[in-house]
Amino acid sequence: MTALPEPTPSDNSSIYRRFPADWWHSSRTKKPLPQRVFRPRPWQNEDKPGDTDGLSISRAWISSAKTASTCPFTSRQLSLASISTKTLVELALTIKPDPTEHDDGHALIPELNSLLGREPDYQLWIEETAIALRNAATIILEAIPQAMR
Amino acid sequence: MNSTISQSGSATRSVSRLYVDTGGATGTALAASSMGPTREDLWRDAIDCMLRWSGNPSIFSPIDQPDPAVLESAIDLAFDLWDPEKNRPVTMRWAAPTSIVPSGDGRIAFEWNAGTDTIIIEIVGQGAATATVFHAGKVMEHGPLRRDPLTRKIEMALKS
Repeated sequence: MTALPEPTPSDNSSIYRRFPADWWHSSRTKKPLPQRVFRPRPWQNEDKPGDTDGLSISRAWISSAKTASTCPFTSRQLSLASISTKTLVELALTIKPDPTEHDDGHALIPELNSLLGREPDYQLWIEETAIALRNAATIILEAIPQAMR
Repeated sequence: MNSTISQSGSATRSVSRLYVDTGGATGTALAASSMGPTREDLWRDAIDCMLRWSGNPSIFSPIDQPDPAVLESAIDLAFDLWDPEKNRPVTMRWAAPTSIVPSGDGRIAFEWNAGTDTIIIEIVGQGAATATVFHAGKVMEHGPLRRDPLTRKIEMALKS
Protein backbone atom coordinates (compact mmCIF):
# COMPACT_ATOMS: atom_id res chain seq x y z
CA MET A 1 0.00 0.00 0.00
CA THR A 2 1.33 3.44 -0.88
CA ALA A 3 1.47 6.00 1.93
CA LEU A 4 -0.61 9.10 1.46
CA PRO A 5 1.42 12.16 0.53
CA GLU A 6 2.06 14.52 3.44
CA PRO A 7 -0.07 17.69 3.41
CA THR A 8 1.80 20.72 2.17
CA PRO A 9 1.70 24.21 3.68
CA SER A 10 -0.17 27.04 2.01
CA ASP A 11 1.01 30.65 1.78
CA ASN A 12 -0.69 31.52 5.06
CA SER A 13 0.40 28.44 6.99
CA SER A 14 1.97 28.67 10.40
CA ILE A 15 4.00 26.69 12.89
CA TYR A 16 3.44 26.16 16.62
CA ARG A 17 5.92 26.35 19.46
CA ARG A 18 4.98 25.00 22.90
CA PHE A 19 6.31 26.63 26.07
CA PRO A 20 5.81 26.59 29.86
CA ALA A 21 4.53 29.96 31.08
CA ASP A 22 4.09 29.54 34.78
CA TRP A 23 5.27 32.99 35.69
CA TRP A 24 4.64 35.35 32.91
CA HIS A 25 2.72 38.47 33.70
CA SER A 26 2.25 39.04 30.00
CA SER A 27 -0.85 37.01 30.52
CA ARG A 28 -2.23 39.98 32.39
CA THR A 29 -0.71 42.86 30.50
CA LYS A 30 -0.05 41.46 27.01
CA LYS A 31 3.67 42.07 27.16
CA PRO A 32 6.08 40.22 24.83
CA LEU A 33 6.61 36.50 24.86
CA PRO A 34 9.81 35.33 26.54
CA GLN A 35 12.66 35.30 24.03
CA ARG A 36 13.84 31.98 25.44
CA VAL A 37 10.74 30.33 23.94
CA PHE A 38 12.46 30.52 20.55
CA ARG A 39 16.08 29.97 21.51
CA PRO A 40 17.31 26.38 21.26
CA ARG A 41 18.81 24.88 24.39
CA PRO A 42 22.50 25.71 24.09
CA TRP A 43 25.44 23.32 24.16
CA GLN A 44 26.87 22.97 27.68
CA ASN A 45 28.89 19.76 27.52
CA GLU A 46 28.73 16.20 26.16
CA ASP A 47 26.12 15.31 28.78
CA LYS A 48 23.99 18.38 28.06
CA PRO A 49 24.38 18.93 24.32
CA GLY A 50 21.23 21.03 23.99
CA ASP A 51 19.09 21.04 20.86
CA THR A 52 21.67 19.58 18.50
CA ASP A 53 19.15 18.94 15.70
CA GLY A 54 17.37 22.28 15.90
CA LEU A 55 14.38 23.93 17.54
CA SER A 56 11.30 21.74 17.97
CA ILE A 57 8.08 23.01 16.40
CA SER A 58 4.80 21.61 15.13
CA ARG A 59 3.44 22.20 11.65
CA ALA A 60 -0.02 23.71 12.10
CA TRP A 61 -1.19 22.28 8.78
CA ILE A 62 -0.71 18.80 10.22
CA SER A 63 -0.89 19.11 14.04
CA SER A 64 -3.84 20.26 16.10
CA ALA A 65 -3.33 22.97 18.72
CA LYS A 66 -4.24 20.39 21.37
CA THR A 67 -1.54 17.96 20.26
CA ALA A 68 1.06 20.68 19.78
CA SER A 69 0.40 22.18 23.22
CA THR A 70 0.54 18.91 25.14
CA CYS A 71 3.88 17.91 26.61
CA PRO A 72 4.52 14.29 25.57
CA PHE A 73 6.48 13.61 28.77
CA THR A 74 3.99 14.93 31.36
CA SER A 75 0.73 15.09 29.33
CA ARG A 76 0.42 18.60 30.77
CA GLN A 77 -1.05 21.26 28.52
CA LEU A 78 1.37 24.15 28.02
CA SER A 79 1.03 27.51 26.30
CA LEU A 80 1.29 27.74 22.54
CA ALA A 81 2.65 30.38 20.19
CA SER A 82 2.16 30.56 16.45
CA ILE A 83 4.36 32.06 13.72
CA SER A 84 3.65 32.26 10.01
CA THR A 85 5.84 30.18 7.71
CA LYS A 86 6.33 33.39 5.72
CA THR A 87 8.21 34.86 8.70
CA LEU A 88 10.47 31.82 8.83
CA VAL A 89 11.26 32.24 5.12
CA GLU A 90 12.05 35.94 5.65
CA LEU A 91 14.48 34.98 8.42
CA ALA A 92 16.14 32.37 6.18
CA LEU A 93 14.91 29.54 8.39
CA THR A 94 13.76 26.17 7.11
CA ILE A 95 11.42 23.47 8.38
CA LYS A 96 12.63 19.87 8.55
CA PRO A 97 9.82 17.32 9.11
CA ASP A 98 10.47 15.13 12.14
CA PRO A 99 7.23 13.27 12.95
CA THR A 100 7.03 11.57 16.34
CA GLU A 101 4.68 9.05 17.91
CA HIS A 102 3.03 11.92 19.79
CA ASP A 103 2.83 14.42 16.94
CA ASP A 104 2.78 13.67 13.21
CA GLY A 105 3.36 17.37 12.54
CA HIS A 106 6.49 17.64 14.67
CA ALA A 107 9.38 19.30 12.86
CA LEU A 108 12.65 21.09 13.48
CA ILE A 109 14.16 24.41 12.52
CA PRO A 110 17.64 23.02 11.84
CA GLU A 111 19.41 26.39 11.64
CA LEU A 112 18.62 26.97 15.33
CA ASN A 113 20.86 24.22 16.69
CA SER A 114 23.23 24.03 19.60
CA LEU A 115 26.18 22.63 17.66
CA LEU A 116 26.61 25.68 15.44
CA GLY A 117 25.61 27.77 18.47
CA ARG A 118 28.96 26.92 20.08
CA GLU A 119 30.49 29.55 17.80
CA PRO A 120 30.16 32.96 19.50
CA ASP A 121 29.04 34.77 16.32
CA TYR A 122 26.48 32.11 15.54
CA GLN A 123 25.28 32.21 19.15
CA LEU A 124 24.57 35.94 18.80
CA TRP A 125 22.73 35.29 15.54
CA ILE A 126 20.59 32.69 17.32
CA GLU A 127 19.84 35.16 20.14
CA GLU A 128 18.77 37.83 17.65
CA THR A 129 16.76 35.40 15.53
CA ALA A 130 14.94 34.28 18.68
CA ILE A 131 14.03 37.92 19.40
CA ALA A 132 12.74 38.32 15.82
CA LEU A 133 10.66 35.15 16.16
CA ARG A 134 9.11 36.17 19.44
CA ASN A 135 8.30 39.62 18.05
CA ALA A 136 6.47 37.96 15.16
CA ALA A 137 4.71 35.34 17.29
CA THR A 138 1.08 35.27 18.26
CA ILE A 139 -0.08 33.61 21.44
CA ILE A 140 -2.88 31.23 20.63
CA LEU A 141 -3.17 29.38 23.91
CA GLU A 142 -2.30 30.39 27.45
CA ALA A 143 -2.07 27.64 30.00
CA ILE A 144 -1.45 29.42 33.28
CA PRO A 145 -1.85 27.59 36.59
CA GLN A 146 -5.06 28.54 38.40
CA ALA A 147 -3.15 30.18 41.24
CA MET A 148 -1.58 32.71 38.88
CA ARG A 149 -4.79 33.93 37.28
CA MET B 1 36.05 45.51 30.87
CA ASN B 2 34.28 44.86 34.13
CA SER B 3 31.42 47.30 34.41
CA THR B 4 28.02 47.09 35.98
CA ILE B 5 25.02 46.88 33.71
CA SER B 6 23.59 50.05 35.08
CA GLN B 7 26.79 51.99 34.50
CA SER B 8 27.91 50.79 31.12
CA GLY B 9 27.22 52.21 27.68
CA SER B 10 24.21 50.90 25.87
CA ALA B 11 23.03 48.88 28.80
CA THR B 12 22.49 52.03 30.80
CA ARG B 13 19.74 53.11 28.43
CA SER B 14 18.07 49.76 28.63
CA VAL B 15 18.31 49.14 32.31
CA SER B 16 17.40 52.62 33.47
CA ARG B 17 13.99 52.26 31.88
CA LEU B 18 13.39 49.13 33.85
CA TYR B 19 13.81 50.61 37.28
CA VAL B 20 10.55 51.24 39.03
CA ASP B 21 10.31 54.49 40.89
CA THR B 22 8.08 53.49 43.73
CA GLY B 23 8.33 57.03 45.03
CA GLY B 24 5.75 57.87 42.40
CA ALA B 25 7.85 60.32 40.45
CA THR B 26 7.36 59.14 36.88
CA GLY B 27 4.23 59.10 34.85
CA THR B 28 5.01 55.65 33.53
CA ALA B 29 5.40 54.17 36.99
CA LEU B 30 2.20 55.81 38.15
CA ALA B 31 0.30 54.61 35.13
CA ALA B 32 1.59 51.09 35.60
CA SER B 33 0.78 50.96 39.29
CA SER B 34 -2.75 52.28 38.85
CA MET B 35 -3.59 49.69 36.19
CA GLY B 36 -2.46 46.45 37.74
CA PRO B 37 -0.47 44.70 40.41
CA THR B 38 2.25 46.64 42.18
CA ARG B 39 5.96 45.95 41.91
CA GLU B 40 5.82 44.28 45.33
CA ASP B 41 2.89 42.07 44.24
CA LEU B 42 4.70 40.96 41.10
CA TRP B 43 7.97 40.16 42.82
CA ARG B 44 6.09 38.27 45.55
CA ASP B 45 4.15 36.33 42.89
CA ALA B 46 7.37 35.52 41.05
CA ILE B 47 9.10 34.20 44.15
CA ASP B 48 6.02 32.24 45.23
CA CYS B 49 5.92 30.68 41.78
CA MET B 50 9.58 29.62 41.95
CA LEU B 51 8.99 28.18 45.42
CA ARG B 52 6.12 26.15 43.95
CA TRP B 53 8.45 24.88 41.21
CA SER B 54 10.91 23.95 43.91
CA GLY B 55 8.29 21.92 45.77
CA ASN B 56 6.83 20.26 42.69
CA PRO B 57 9.49 19.84 39.99
CA SER B 58 7.57 17.04 38.29
CA ILE B 59 5.18 19.55 36.71
CA PHE B 60 7.94 20.07 34.15
CA SER B 61 9.20 17.76 31.47
CA PRO B 62 12.72 16.43 32.06
CA ILE B 63 13.98 18.98 29.52
CA ASP B 64 12.37 21.99 31.21
CA GLN B 65 12.79 20.99 34.85
CA PRO B 66 14.87 23.62 36.69
CA ASP B 67 17.93 22.36 38.53
CA PRO B 68 17.41 22.71 42.34
CA ALA B 69 20.66 24.68 42.74
CA VAL B 70 19.70 26.95 39.84
CA LEU B 71 16.27 27.50 41.36
CA GLU B 72 17.84 28.42 44.70
CA SER B 73 20.12 30.93 42.97
CA ALA B 74 17.19 32.33 40.99
CA ILE B 75 15.20 32.91 44.19
CA ASP B 76 18.26 34.58 45.77
CA LEU B 77 18.61 36.82 42.73
CA ALA B 78 14.92 37.69 42.78
CA PHE B 79 15.12 38.76 46.43
CA ASP B 80 18.23 40.77 45.68
CA LEU B 81 16.63 42.60 42.73
CA TRP B 82 13.33 43.04 44.52
CA ASP B 83 15.07 44.52 47.59
CA PRO B 84 12.01 44.29 49.85
CA GLU B 85 13.94 45.91 52.71
CA LYS B 86 14.53 48.91 50.43
CA ASN B 87 18.25 49.00 51.12
CA ARG B 88 19.03 50.45 47.72
CA PRO B 89 18.28 53.91 46.41
CA VAL B 90 14.94 54.09 44.60
CA THR B 91 16.65 54.44 41.23
CA MET B 92 18.55 51.18 41.76
CA ARG B 93 15.51 48.98 42.41
CA TRP B 94 14.53 46.62 39.66
CA ALA B 95 11.04 46.20 38.29
CA ALA B 96 9.72 42.66 38.40
CA PRO B 97 10.58 40.83 35.20
CA THR B 98 8.08 40.46 32.40
CA SER B 99 8.64 36.73 32.55
CA ILE B 100 10.48 34.01 34.40
CA VAL B 101 10.64 30.76 32.50
CA PRO B 102 12.52 27.49 32.67
CA SER B 103 14.90 27.82 29.73
CA GLY B 104 15.95 24.19 29.41
CA ASP B 105 18.60 21.88 30.86
CA GLY B 106 17.94 23.11 34.38
CA ARG B 107 18.25 26.83 33.61
CA ILE B 108 15.91 29.69 34.47
CA ALA B 109 15.60 32.94 32.50
CA PHE B 110 14.37 36.30 33.81
CA GLU B 111 13.36 38.75 31.08
CA TRP B 112 12.55 42.46 31.19
CA ASN B 113 11.02 44.37 28.28
CA ALA B 114 10.71 48.11 27.82
CA GLY B 115 9.92 49.34 24.33
CA THR B 116 12.56 47.94 22.00
CA ASP B 117 14.89 47.05 24.87
CA THR B 118 15.14 43.57 26.32
CA ILE B 119 17.34 42.29 29.12
CA ILE B 120 17.66 38.59 29.88
CA ILE B 121 19.41 37.21 32.93
CA GLU B 122 19.69 33.46 32.72
CA ILE B 123 20.70 31.48 35.77
CA VAL B 124 22.92 28.72 34.40
CA GLY B 125 24.31 27.15 37.58
CA GLN B 126 24.67 27.67 41.30
CA GLY B 127 25.55 31.33 41.67
CA ALA B 128 26.26 31.69 37.96
CA ALA B 129 24.30 33.59 35.36
CA THR B 130 24.60 35.24 31.98
CA ALA B 131 23.18 38.59 30.98
CA THR B 132 22.18 39.59 27.47
CA VAL B 133 21.09 43.11 26.62
CA PHE B 134 19.20 43.72 23.37
CA HIS B 135 18.24 46.97 21.70
CA ALA B 136 15.96 46.92 18.66
CA GLY B 137 16.55 43.21 18.21
CA LYS B 138 20.35 43.42 18.29
CA VAL B 139 22.62 42.09 21.02
CA MET B 140 24.36 45.06 22.66
CA GLU B 141 26.04 43.22 25.52
CA HIS B 142 26.46 39.61 26.51
CA GLY B 143 28.49 38.15 29.33
CA PRO B 144 28.66 36.16 32.54
CA LEU B 145 27.55 37.24 36.00
CA ARG B 146 29.07 35.77 39.15
CA ARG B 147 28.11 35.43 42.78
CA ASP B 148 30.23 37.51 45.10
CA PRO B 149 31.69 35.08 47.68
CA LEU B 150 31.38 37.68 50.44
CA THR B 151 27.95 39.18 49.85
CA ARG B 152 26.51 35.95 48.32
CA LYS B 153 24.79 38.16 45.76
CA ILE B 154 24.97 37.55 42.03
CA GLU B 155 26.78 40.64 40.89
CA MET B 156 25.27 42.64 38.08
CA ALA B 157 28.59 42.93 36.33
CA LEU B 158 29.24 42.15 32.69
CA LYS B 159 32.70 40.78 32.02
CA SER B 160 33.67 40.73 28.38
